[in-house]
Amino acid sequence: MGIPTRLLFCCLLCWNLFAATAQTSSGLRLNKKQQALALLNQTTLTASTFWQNVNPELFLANLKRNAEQPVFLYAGRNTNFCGYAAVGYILLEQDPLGYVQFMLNLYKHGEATYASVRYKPTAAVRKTAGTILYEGELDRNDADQVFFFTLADHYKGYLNLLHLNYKRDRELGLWAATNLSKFNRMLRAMMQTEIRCIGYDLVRVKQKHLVDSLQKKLLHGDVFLYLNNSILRKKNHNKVKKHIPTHYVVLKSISEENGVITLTYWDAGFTTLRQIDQKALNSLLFGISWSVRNR
Amino acid sequence: MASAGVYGTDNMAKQLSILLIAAALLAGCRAGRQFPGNYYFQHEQAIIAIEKQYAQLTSKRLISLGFTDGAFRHVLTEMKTDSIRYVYEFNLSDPSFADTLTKYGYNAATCMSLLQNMKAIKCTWINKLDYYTDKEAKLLTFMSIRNNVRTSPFSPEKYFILTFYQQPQYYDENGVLLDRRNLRRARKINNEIFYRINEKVCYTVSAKFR
Repeated sequence: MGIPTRLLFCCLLCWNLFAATAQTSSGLRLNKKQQALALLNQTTLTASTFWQNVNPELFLANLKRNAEQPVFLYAGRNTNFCGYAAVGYILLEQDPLGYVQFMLNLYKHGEATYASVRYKPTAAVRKTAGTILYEGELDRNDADQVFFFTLADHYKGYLNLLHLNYKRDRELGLWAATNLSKFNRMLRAMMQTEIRCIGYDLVRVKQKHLVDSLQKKLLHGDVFLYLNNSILRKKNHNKVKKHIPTHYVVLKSISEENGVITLTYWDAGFTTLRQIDQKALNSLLFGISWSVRNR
Repeated sequence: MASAGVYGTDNMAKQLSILLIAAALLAGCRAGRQFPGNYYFQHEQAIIAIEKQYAQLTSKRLISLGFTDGAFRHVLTEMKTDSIRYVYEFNLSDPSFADTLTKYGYNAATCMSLLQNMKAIKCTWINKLDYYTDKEAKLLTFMSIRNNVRTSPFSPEKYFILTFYQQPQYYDENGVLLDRRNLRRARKINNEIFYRINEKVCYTVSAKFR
Protein backbone atom coordinates (compact mmCIF):
# COMPACT_ATOMS: atom_id res chain seq x y z
CA MET A 1 0.00 0.00 0.00
CA GLY A 2 1.55 3.32 -1.09
CA ILE A 3 1.72 6.43 1.10
CA PRO A 4 -1.11 8.30 -0.73
CA THR A 5 -3.39 5.25 -0.38
CA ARG A 6 -2.57 5.00 3.34
CA LEU A 7 -3.27 8.71 3.78
CA LEU A 8 -6.58 8.34 1.96
CA PHE A 9 -7.46 5.34 4.14
CA CYS A 10 -6.63 7.32 7.32
CA CYS A 11 -8.77 10.27 6.15
CA LEU A 12 -11.73 7.98 5.43
CA LEU A 13 -11.36 6.30 8.82
CA CYS A 14 -11.26 9.69 10.60
CA TRP A 15 -14.28 10.91 8.65
CA ASN A 16 -16.26 7.77 9.53
CA LEU A 17 -15.33 8.13 13.20
CA PHE A 18 -16.33 11.83 13.16
CA ALA A 19 -19.66 11.07 11.42
CA ALA A 20 -20.39 8.22 13.85
CA THR A 21 -19.65 10.47 16.85
CA ALA A 22 -21.84 13.26 15.47
CA GLN A 23 -24.67 10.79 14.80
CA THR A 24 -24.40 9.30 18.30
CA SER A 25 -24.34 12.76 19.85
CA SER A 26 -27.44 13.83 17.88
CA GLY A 27 -29.20 10.55 18.76
CA LEU A 28 -28.36 11.01 22.43
CA ARG A 29 -29.79 14.54 22.38
CA LEU A 30 -33.02 13.28 20.80
CA ASN A 31 -33.22 10.55 23.38
CA LYS A 32 -32.66 13.04 26.21
CA LYS A 33 -35.36 15.29 24.77
CA GLN A 34 -37.85 12.41 24.69
CA GLN A 35 -36.90 11.46 28.26
CA ALA A 36 -37.35 15.07 29.35
CA LEU A 37 -40.82 15.23 27.77
CA ALA A 38 -41.76 11.84 29.29
CA LEU A 39 -40.68 13.08 32.73
CA LEU A 40 -42.76 16.23 32.30
CA ASN A 41 -45.80 14.24 31.17
CA GLN A 42 -45.58 12.15 34.36
CA THR A 43 -45.16 15.20 36.61
CA THR A 44 -47.92 17.06 38.42
CA LEU A 45 -47.08 20.08 40.52
CA THR A 46 -48.86 21.81 43.36
CA ALA A 47 -48.21 25.36 44.56
CA SER A 48 -44.65 25.67 45.87
CA THR A 49 -43.90 27.04 49.32
CA PHE A 50 -40.58 28.33 47.99
CA TRP A 51 -41.86 30.11 44.88
CA GLN A 52 -45.03 31.79 46.16
CA ASN A 53 -45.86 33.62 42.93
CA VAL A 54 -45.02 30.90 40.42
CA ASN A 55 -48.04 29.28 38.84
CA PRO A 56 -47.45 25.47 38.73
CA GLU A 57 -49.43 25.02 35.49
CA LEU A 58 -47.60 27.83 33.70
CA PHE A 59 -44.30 26.51 35.08
CA LEU A 60 -44.89 23.02 33.67
CA ALA A 61 -46.22 24.32 30.35
CA ASN A 62 -43.15 26.54 30.03
CA LEU A 63 -40.76 23.64 30.77
CA LYS A 64 -42.49 21.49 28.18
CA ARG A 65 -42.35 24.22 25.53
CA ASN A 66 -38.65 24.82 26.31
CA ALA A 67 -37.81 21.11 26.04
CA GLU A 68 -39.68 20.85 22.74
CA GLN A 69 -38.47 24.12 21.21
CA PRO A 70 -35.47 25.70 22.97
CA VAL A 71 -35.38 28.42 20.32
CA PHE A 72 -38.33 30.19 21.97
CA LEU A 73 -36.60 30.70 25.34
CA TYR A 74 -37.23 34.40 25.84
CA ALA A 75 -35.33 36.85 28.06
CA GLY A 76 -37.85 39.70 28.02
CA ARG A 77 -37.81 43.08 26.34
CA ASN A 78 -35.86 45.23 28.79
CA THR A 79 -34.19 42.87 31.27
CA ASN A 80 -30.47 42.11 31.49
CA PHE A 81 -31.15 38.37 31.26
CA CYS A 82 -29.65 37.82 27.77
CA GLY A 83 -26.47 36.12 29.09
CA TYR A 84 -28.48 33.68 31.21
CA ALA A 85 -30.79 33.04 28.26
CA ALA A 86 -27.82 32.14 26.03
CA VAL A 87 -26.61 29.67 28.67
CA GLY A 88 -30.15 28.26 29.07
CA TYR A 89 -30.57 27.85 25.33
CA ILE A 90 -27.41 25.75 25.01
CA LEU A 91 -28.33 23.78 28.12
CA LEU A 92 -31.72 22.98 26.57
CA GLU A 93 -30.11 21.97 23.30
CA GLN A 94 -27.46 19.77 24.90
CA ASP A 95 -29.11 18.38 28.02
CA PRO A 96 -32.91 18.87 28.11
CA LEU A 97 -33.34 16.06 30.64
CA GLY A 98 -30.77 17.56 33.01
CA TYR A 99 -32.43 20.97 32.62
CA VAL A 100 -35.90 19.60 33.40
CA GLN A 101 -34.68 17.64 36.45
CA PHE A 102 -32.81 20.71 37.71
CA MET A 103 -35.85 22.96 37.27
CA LEU A 104 -38.24 20.51 38.93
CA ASN A 105 -35.90 20.15 41.92
CA LEU A 106 -35.54 23.90 42.12
CA TYR A 107 -39.32 24.30 42.14
CA LYS A 108 -39.99 21.55 44.68
CA HIS A 109 -37.11 22.19 47.10
CA GLY A 110 -36.18 25.84 46.54
CA GLU A 111 -32.63 24.69 45.69
CA ALA A 112 -31.04 22.27 43.25
CA THR A 113 -27.73 20.95 41.96
CA TYR A 114 -26.59 20.93 38.36
CA ALA A 115 -23.15 19.63 37.34
CA SER A 116 -22.02 19.54 40.98
CA VAL A 117 -22.92 23.20 41.54
CA ARG A 118 -25.55 23.92 44.18
CA TYR A 119 -27.98 26.76 43.39
CA LYS A 120 -29.89 28.17 46.33
CA PRO A 121 -31.68 31.39 45.32
CA THR A 122 -32.37 33.95 48.02
CA ALA A 123 -35.85 34.67 49.38
CA ALA A 124 -36.01 38.01 47.52
CA VAL A 125 -35.69 36.43 44.07
CA ARG A 126 -37.92 33.48 44.97
CA LYS A 127 -40.61 35.98 45.91
CA THR A 128 -40.22 37.95 42.67
CA ALA A 129 -40.15 35.06 40.18
CA GLY A 130 -43.59 34.76 38.60
CA THR A 131 -44.40 38.46 39.02
CA ILE A 132 -42.54 39.92 36.04
CA LEU A 133 -44.77 42.23 34.02
CA TYR A 134 -44.62 44.06 30.70
CA GLU A 135 -41.72 42.00 29.34
CA GLY A 136 -43.64 40.31 26.54
CA GLU A 137 -43.88 36.54 26.66
CA LEU A 138 -41.66 36.39 29.75
CA ASP A 139 -44.74 37.58 31.70
CA ARG A 140 -46.24 34.10 31.49
CA ASN A 141 -43.03 32.04 31.24
CA ASP A 142 -42.76 31.30 34.94
CA ALA A 143 -40.07 28.63 34.53
CA ASP A 144 -37.85 31.03 32.57
CA GLN A 145 -38.26 33.63 35.30
CA VAL A 146 -37.18 31.03 37.92
CA PHE A 147 -34.17 30.02 35.79
CA PHE A 148 -32.96 33.56 35.02
CA PHE A 149 -33.41 34.80 38.58
CA THR A 150 -31.59 31.75 39.98
CA LEU A 151 -28.56 32.24 37.72
CA ALA A 152 -28.48 36.00 38.24
CA ASP A 153 -28.62 35.49 42.00
CA HIS A 154 -25.90 32.82 41.99
CA TYR A 155 -23.25 34.21 39.64
CA LYS A 156 -21.64 37.54 40.41
CA GLY A 157 -19.09 39.64 38.54
CA TYR A 158 -17.57 43.06 39.08
CA LEU A 159 -20.53 44.72 37.34
CA ASN A 160 -22.78 43.45 40.14
CA LEU A 161 -20.64 44.74 43.02
CA LEU A 162 -22.80 47.80 43.69
CA HIS A 163 -26.03 45.82 43.47
CA LEU A 164 -25.28 42.46 45.04
CA ASN A 165 -28.69 41.96 46.63
CA TYR A 166 -31.91 41.81 44.70
CA LYS A 167 -34.50 44.57 45.04
CA ARG A 168 -37.61 45.17 42.94
CA ASP A 169 -36.89 45.85 39.22
CA ARG A 170 -33.15 45.20 39.55
CA GLU A 171 -33.40 42.67 36.72
CA LEU A 172 -33.42 45.77 34.49
CA GLY A 173 -30.15 47.08 35.91
CA LEU A 174 -26.66 46.18 37.09
CA TRP A 175 -27.84 43.43 39.47
CA ALA A 176 -28.45 41.20 36.45
CA ALA A 177 -25.59 42.46 34.24
CA THR A 178 -23.06 39.92 32.98
CA ASN A 179 -19.45 40.73 32.16
CA LEU A 180 -17.47 38.41 29.87
CA SER A 181 -15.57 36.60 32.62
CA LYS A 182 -18.77 35.86 34.57
CA PHE A 183 -20.40 34.63 31.36
CA ASN A 184 -17.53 32.21 30.74
CA ARG A 185 -17.73 30.97 34.34
CA MET A 186 -21.43 30.23 33.84
CA LEU A 187 -20.73 28.43 30.56
CA ARG A 188 -18.00 26.27 32.14
CA ALA A 189 -20.24 25.36 35.08
CA MET A 190 -23.37 24.60 33.08
CA MET A 191 -21.88 23.08 29.92
CA GLN A 192 -19.21 20.96 31.66
CA THR A 193 -16.86 21.37 28.76
CA GLU A 194 -13.76 23.35 27.88
CA ILE A 195 -14.60 26.97 27.12
CA ARG A 196 -12.11 29.23 25.37
CA CYS A 197 -12.46 32.96 24.94
CA ILE A 198 -10.95 35.98 23.29
CA GLY A 199 -11.96 39.57 24.00
CA TYR A 200 -12.52 42.02 26.82
CA ASP A 201 -15.34 43.98 28.38
CA LEU A 202 -14.18 47.31 26.94
CA VAL A 203 -11.88 46.47 24.03
CA ARG A 204 -13.11 45.21 20.68
CA VAL A 205 -11.90 41.94 19.20
CA LYS A 206 -9.16 42.65 16.68
CA GLN A 207 -8.56 39.60 14.56
CA LYS A 208 -7.65 39.08 10.95
CA HIS A 209 -9.90 36.77 8.93
CA LEU A 210 -12.63 37.01 11.57
CA VAL A 211 -15.26 35.21 9.48
CA ASP A 212 -12.94 32.25 8.77
CA SER A 213 -11.96 32.07 12.41
CA LEU A 214 -15.61 32.01 13.56
CA GLN A 215 -16.45 29.35 10.96
CA LYS A 216 -13.63 27.15 12.33
CA LYS A 217 -14.85 27.60 15.89
CA LEU A 218 -18.38 26.59 14.85
CA LEU A 219 -16.97 23.27 13.59
CA HIS A 220 -15.73 22.42 17.09
CA GLY A 221 -18.71 23.43 19.21
CA ASP A 222 -20.95 26.30 20.25
CA VAL A 223 -19.92 29.90 19.70
CA PHE A 224 -21.14 32.85 21.78
CA LEU A 225 -20.70 36.47 20.77
CA TYR A 226 -20.47 39.36 23.23
CA LEU A 227 -21.45 42.44 21.30
CA ASN A 228 -22.62 46.02 21.20
CA ASN A 229 -26.30 45.58 20.48
CA SER A 230 -26.86 49.24 19.67
CA ILE A 231 -25.09 48.57 16.35
CA LEU A 232 -26.81 45.27 15.60
CA ARG A 233 -30.21 46.44 16.78
CA LYS A 234 -30.30 50.21 16.45
CA LYS A 235 -32.78 51.94 18.74
CA ASN A 236 -32.04 55.63 18.14
CA HIS A 237 -30.37 57.94 15.62
CA ASN A 238 -28.00 59.64 18.06
CA LYS A 239 -24.63 60.67 16.64
CA VAL A 240 -22.85 59.95 19.93
CA LYS A 241 -22.93 56.23 20.63
CA LYS A 242 -21.82 54.14 23.57
CA HIS A 243 -18.97 51.86 22.62
CA ILE A 244 -19.65 49.09 25.10
CA PRO A 245 -20.88 45.53 24.76
CA THR A 246 -24.38 44.96 26.06
CA HIS A 247 -25.61 41.67 24.66
CA TYR A 248 -24.88 37.95 24.22
CA VAL A 249 -26.01 35.87 21.26
CA VAL A 250 -25.34 32.29 20.15
CA LEU A 251 -23.81 32.16 16.68
CA LYS A 252 -25.34 29.51 14.41
CA SER A 253 -23.59 30.25 11.12
CA ILE A 254 -21.57 32.95 9.39
CA SER A 255 -20.58 33.46 5.77
CA GLU A 256 -19.17 36.23 3.59
CA GLU A 257 -19.91 37.08 -0.01
CA ASN A 258 -18.81 40.22 -1.86
CA GLY A 259 -18.04 41.98 1.42
CA VAL A 260 -21.48 41.25 2.88
CA ILE A 261 -21.45 39.08 6.00
CA THR A 262 -24.51 36.95 6.69
CA LEU A 263 -24.88 36.04 10.35
CA THR A 264 -27.42 33.60 11.72
CA TYR A 265 -27.65 33.73 15.48
CA TRP A 266 -29.94 32.85 18.32
CA ASP A 267 -30.97 35.96 20.18
CA ALA A 268 -33.24 35.28 23.20
CA GLY A 269 -36.46 34.10 21.60
CA PHE A 270 -35.60 34.13 17.91
CA THR A 271 -33.18 32.78 15.38
CA THR A 272 -32.18 35.81 13.37
CA LEU A 273 -30.54 36.10 9.98
CA ARG A 274 -28.81 39.45 9.57
CA GLN A 275 -26.57 40.93 6.90
CA ILE A 276 -23.87 43.39 7.90
CA ASP A 277 -20.57 44.62 6.49
CA GLN A 278 -17.08 43.87 7.80
CA LYS A 279 -16.76 47.31 9.42
CA ALA A 280 -19.96 46.78 11.41
CA LEU A 281 -18.84 43.31 12.52
CA ASN A 282 -15.50 44.69 13.69
CA SER A 283 -17.10 47.53 15.60
CA LEU A 284 -19.75 45.48 17.36
CA LEU A 285 -17.74 42.46 18.50
CA PHE A 286 -16.12 42.59 21.97
CA GLY A 287 -15.85 38.92 22.90
CA ILE A 288 -15.99 35.41 21.46
CA SER A 289 -16.46 32.39 23.72
CA TRP A 290 -16.54 28.91 22.27
CA SER A 291 -16.75 25.35 23.47
CA VAL A 292 -14.41 22.67 22.19
CA ARG A 293 -16.84 19.80 22.70
CA ASN A 294 -16.38 18.07 19.34
CA ARG A 295 -12.58 18.09 19.25
CA MET B 1 0.16 94.07 42.84
CA ALA B 2 0.57 93.92 39.09
CA SER B 3 1.34 90.24 39.16
CA ALA B 4 -1.63 89.66 41.44
CA GLY B 5 -3.80 91.62 38.95
CA VAL B 6 -2.56 89.55 36.01
CA TYR B 7 -3.11 86.42 38.00
CA GLY B 8 -6.65 87.61 38.85
CA THR B 9 -7.46 88.34 35.18
CA ASP B 10 -6.07 84.95 34.08
CA ASN B 11 -8.05 83.23 36.77
CA MET B 12 -11.24 85.02 35.74
CA ALA B 13 -10.65 84.15 32.07
CA LYS B 14 -10.15 80.52 33.04
CA GLN B 15 -13.31 80.47 35.12
CA LEU B 16 -15.22 82.17 32.33
CA SER B 17 -14.04 79.65 29.74
CA ILE B 18 -14.96 76.76 32.09
CA LEU B 19 -18.41 78.29 32.52
CA LEU B 20 -18.80 78.74 28.75
CA ILE B 21 -17.75 75.15 28.05
CA ALA B 22 -20.10 73.85 30.76
CA ALA B 23 -22.96 75.92 29.32
CA ALA B 24 -22.22 74.64 25.81
CA LEU B 25 -22.14 71.05 27.06
CA LEU B 26 -25.38 71.53 28.96
CA ALA B 27 -27.03 72.98 25.87
CA GLY B 28 -25.73 70.05 23.85
CA CYS B 29 -27.08 67.52 26.33
CA ARG B 30 -30.48 69.14 26.62
CA ALA B 31 -33.26 67.29 24.88
CA GLY B 32 -34.75 68.83 21.78
CA ARG B 33 -38.08 70.63 21.94
CA GLN B 34 -40.68 68.19 23.14
CA PHE B 35 -43.56 67.12 20.96
CA PRO B 36 -46.63 69.23 21.51
CA GLY B 37 -49.53 67.49 23.25
CA ASN B 38 -51.73 67.97 20.19
CA TYR B 39 -49.23 66.39 17.73
CA TYR B 40 -51.50 63.40 17.19
CA PHE B 41 -54.52 65.56 16.37
CA GLN B 42 -52.50 67.72 13.95
CA HIS B 43 -51.53 64.60 11.96
CA GLU B 44 -54.45 62.33 12.83
CA GLN B 45 -55.55 61.45 9.30
CA ALA B 46 -52.05 60.51 8.13
CA ILE B 47 -51.33 58.51 11.29
CA ILE B 48 -54.59 56.55 11.07
CA ALA B 49 -53.99 55.86 7.37
CA ILE B 50 -50.53 54.46 8.13
CA GLU B 51 -51.88 52.29 10.94
CA LYS B 52 -54.61 50.88 8.67
CA GLN B 53 -52.18 50.25 5.82
CA TYR B 54 -49.82 48.48 8.20
CA ALA B 55 -52.67 46.36 9.62
CA GLN B 56 -53.52 45.31 6.06
CA LEU B 57 -49.87 44.47 5.32
CA THR B 58 -49.50 42.33 8.45
CA SER B 59 -52.85 40.54 8.26
CA LYS B 60 -51.17 37.29 7.16
CA ARG B 61 -47.61 37.58 8.45
CA LEU B 62 -45.67 40.02 10.59
CA ILE B 63 -43.18 42.55 9.33
CA SER B 64 -41.45 45.45 11.07
CA LEU B 65 -40.40 48.48 9.04
CA GLY B 66 -38.31 51.52 9.80
CA PHE B 67 -35.72 54.01 8.65
CA THR B 68 -32.18 53.89 9.98
CA ASP B 69 -31.00 57.32 8.82
CA GLY B 70 -32.04 60.92 9.26
CA ALA B 71 -32.72 61.40 5.55
CA PHE B 72 -35.23 58.51 5.48
CA ARG B 73 -33.41 56.74 2.65
CA HIS B 74 -32.32 53.49 4.29
CA VAL B 75 -35.02 51.03 5.21
CA LEU B 76 -34.68 48.43 7.93
CA THR B 77 -37.00 45.49 7.64
CA GLU B 78 -37.58 42.53 9.94
CA MET B 79 -39.60 39.72 8.40
CA LYS B 80 -40.78 37.00 10.75
CA THR B 81 -41.50 33.43 9.79
CA ASP B 82 -42.27 30.60 12.23
CA SER B 83 -38.65 29.61 12.58
CA ILE B 84 -36.50 32.62 11.72
CA ARG B 85 -36.43 36.42 11.71
CA TYR B 86 -34.83 37.94 8.61
CA VAL B 87 -33.30 41.38 9.10
CA TYR B 88 -32.28 43.35 6.00
CA GLU B 89 -31.33 46.94 5.24
CA PHE B 90 -32.04 48.42 1.83
CA ASN B 91 -31.91 51.73 0.06
CA LEU B 92 -35.55 52.76 -0.45
CA SER B 93 -34.96 53.19 -4.19
CA ASP B 94 -33.18 49.83 -4.57
CA PRO B 95 -35.31 47.58 -6.86
CA SER B 96 -34.07 44.46 -5.04
CA PHE B 97 -36.02 45.64 -1.96
CA ALA B 98 -39.38 45.07 -3.68
CA ASP B 99 -38.13 41.72 -5.01
CA THR B 100 -37.18 40.62 -1.50
CA LEU B 101 -40.59 41.62 -0.11
CA THR B 102 -42.32 39.63 -2.84
CA LYS B 103 -40.02 36.65 -2.25
CA TYR B 104 -41.08 36.55 1.42
CA GLY B 105 -44.78 36.79 0.51
CA TYR B 106 -45.51 40.46 1.26
CA ASN B 107 -47.38 42.88 -0.97
CA ALA B 108 -44.47 45.00 -2.23
CA ALA B 109 -46.70 47.81 -3.61
CA THR B 110 -48.54 48.26 -0.28
CA CYS B 111 -45.24 48.15 1.55
CA MET B 112 -43.59 50.79 -0.66
CA SER B 113 -46.64 53.04 -0.38
CA LEU B 114 -46.63 52.61 3.40
CA LEU B 115 -42.95 53.58 3.58
CA GLN B 116 -43.58 56.72 1.49
CA ASN B 117 -46.44 57.68 3.82
CA MET B 118 -44.23 57.03 6.84
CA LYS B 119 -41.48 59.20 5.36
CA ALA B 120 -43.97 62.04 4.80
CA ILE B 121 -44.71 62.38 8.53
CA LYS B 122 -41.19 61.34 9.72
CA CYS B 123 -42.49 58.07 11.07
CA THR B 124 -39.28 56.17 11.74
CA TRP B 125 -40.52 52.75 12.90
CA ILE B 126 -43.64 50.58 12.92
CA ASN B 127 -44.10 47.07 14.26
CA LYS B 128 -46.42 44.76 16.18
CA LEU B 129 -45.67 44.08 19.85
CA ASP B 130 -47.15 41.37 22.00
CA TYR B 131 -48.48 42.25 25.44
CA TYR B 132 -50.20 40.15 28.05
CA THR B 133 -53.41 40.66 29.97
CA ASP B 134 -54.10 37.97 32.57
CA LYS B 135 -51.41 35.84 30.89
CA GLU B 136 -53.30 36.06 27.59
CA ALA B 137 -51.33 37.25 24.55
CA LYS B 138 -52.53 40.24 22.53
CA LEU B 139 -50.94 42.39 19.83
CA LEU B 140 -50.63 46.15 19.63
CA THR B 141 -49.24 48.36 16.86
CA PHE B 142 -46.18 50.39 17.88
CA MET B 143 -45.35 53.51 15.86
CA SER B 144 -42.44 55.97 16.36
CA ILE B 145 -42.28 59.45 14.91
CA ARG B 146 -39.00 61.30 14.91
CA ASN B 147 -38.72 64.80 16.34
CA ASN B 148 -37.06 67.03 13.77
CA VAL B 149 -36.53 70.00 16.07
CA ARG B 150 -33.27 69.62 18.00
CA THR B 151 -31.36 72.29 19.88
CA SER B 152 -27.93 70.99 18.86
CA PRO B 153 -26.49 68.17 16.73
CA PHE B 154 -25.41 66.39 19.93
CA SER B 155 -28.69 66.63 21.80
CA PRO B 156 -30.32 63.21 22.21
CA GLU B 157 -33.05 62.21 19.79
CA LYS B 158 -36.65 62.09 20.98
CA TYR B 159 -39.43 60.02 19.47
CA PHE B 160 -43.18 60.43 19.70
CA ILE B 161 -44.41 56.88 20.31
CA LEU B 162 -47.96 55.82 19.58
CA THR B 163 -49.53 52.50 20.54
CA PHE B 164 -52.76 51.25 18.97
CA TYR B 165 -54.89 48.62 20.72
CA GLN B 166 -57.75 46.51 19.42
CA GLN B 167 -59.72 46.87 22.66
CA PRO B 168 -60.52 50.00 24.71
CA GLN B 169 -57.94 50.53 27.48
CA TYR B 170 -58.18 51.74 31.08
CA TYR B 171 -56.74 55.06 32.24
CA ASP B 172 -56.49 56.96 35.51
CA GLU B 173 -57.71 60.53 36.06
CA ASN B 174 -54.39 61.88 34.66
CA GLY B 175 -54.73 59.83 31.48
CA VAL B 176 -52.05 57.27 32.44
CA LEU B 177 -52.54 53.88 30.74
CA LEU B 178 -53.40 51.28 33.37
CA ASP B 179 -53.06 47.54 33.65
CA ARG B 180 -56.36 45.75 33.28
CA ARG B 181 -55.76 43.46 36.22
CA ASN B 182 -55.00 46.17 38.70
CA LEU B 183 -56.64 49.45 37.81
CA ARG B 184 -54.15 51.52 39.84
CA ARG B 185 -51.00 50.09 38.21
CA ALA B 186 -49.56 51.83 35.13
CA ARG B 187 -49.05 49.47 32.19
CA LYS B 188 -45.58 49.91 30.73
CA ILE B 189 -44.59 49.28 27.14
CA ASN B 190 -40.83 49.09 26.53
CA ASN B 191 -40.44 50.27 30.13
CA GLU B 192 -42.26 53.55 29.38
CA ILE B 193 -45.49 54.94 30.85
CA PHE B 194 -48.09 55.80 28.22
CA TYR B 195 -50.85 58.43 28.18
CA ARG B 196 -54.32 58.58 26.71
CA ILE B 197 -55.11 59.99 23.28
CA ASN B 198 -58.38 58.13 22.97
CA GLU B 199 -59.70 54.85 24.34
CA LYS B 200 -57.62 52.73 21.94
CA VAL B 201 -54.59 54.95 21.26
CA CYS B 202 -51.86 56.05 23.70
CA TYR B 203 -48.65 58.04 23.41
CA THR B 204 -45.37 58.74 25.11
CA VAL B 205 -42.13 60.57 24.31
CA SER B 206 -39.08 58.31 24.36
CA ALA B 207 -35.35 58.31 23.70
CA LYS B 208 -35.68 55.03 21.74
CA PHE B 209 -37.72 54.46 18.59
CA ARG B 210 -38.29 50.76 19.39
